[in-house]
Amino acid sequence: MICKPAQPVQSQPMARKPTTEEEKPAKEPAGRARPQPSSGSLFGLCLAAWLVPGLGHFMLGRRGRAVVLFLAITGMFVFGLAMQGQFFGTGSASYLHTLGYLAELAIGVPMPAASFFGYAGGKIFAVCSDYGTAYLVSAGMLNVLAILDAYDIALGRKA
Amino acid sequence: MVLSHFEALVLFSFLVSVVFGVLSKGTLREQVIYGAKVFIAFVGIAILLGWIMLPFA
Repeated sequence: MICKPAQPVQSQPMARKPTTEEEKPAKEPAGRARPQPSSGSLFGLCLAAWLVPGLGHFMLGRRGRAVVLFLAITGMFVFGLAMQGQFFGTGSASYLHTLGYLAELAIGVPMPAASFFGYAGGKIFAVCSDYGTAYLVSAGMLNVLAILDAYDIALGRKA
Repeated sequence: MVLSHFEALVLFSFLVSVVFGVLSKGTLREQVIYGAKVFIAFVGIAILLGWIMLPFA
């Protein structure tokens, strides 16, 4: 088996960020590891990301992503309200309703805000009520993904 | 607000694709390409499943 000699290191700057774990220590010398955020700041970040979709990314400086996430997730929630989607409660004996309630609660402030401004929880006999309910639940689930993404970015697991 | 099933599907697919694209990829170009793929997959698979189920309707 013939091994090629090692290639000389190019002096040009890298065109893209390193993707492998082996390349990272070369940029960050030992003893100067990236400081980890405290658990309190992580909790505050996740709380903010839960209350307002996209706020976690905004706090991390990802303002473009934050605006897009806010518009998409809140827009989905508003469309769900416009289609008379159902607000679930905790009083039902069905655990599916409880799961639906938790999923809708994951949207954060928009849910109590809608109730505050007079949304009565949807009309189940409206034509698009089922679609609206799916939109409301999905908006909450997408916000959970956004919270987890902000958490990963804060920990440095993701660029 | 009254939407047909297909309109609701397309709107839902668009919004979910936007969020998936933004969360999954780094650069704007990658986000747009991935979001478009997810959107096409959502709508295409729904149409395909509907077409498969049509004889049983």
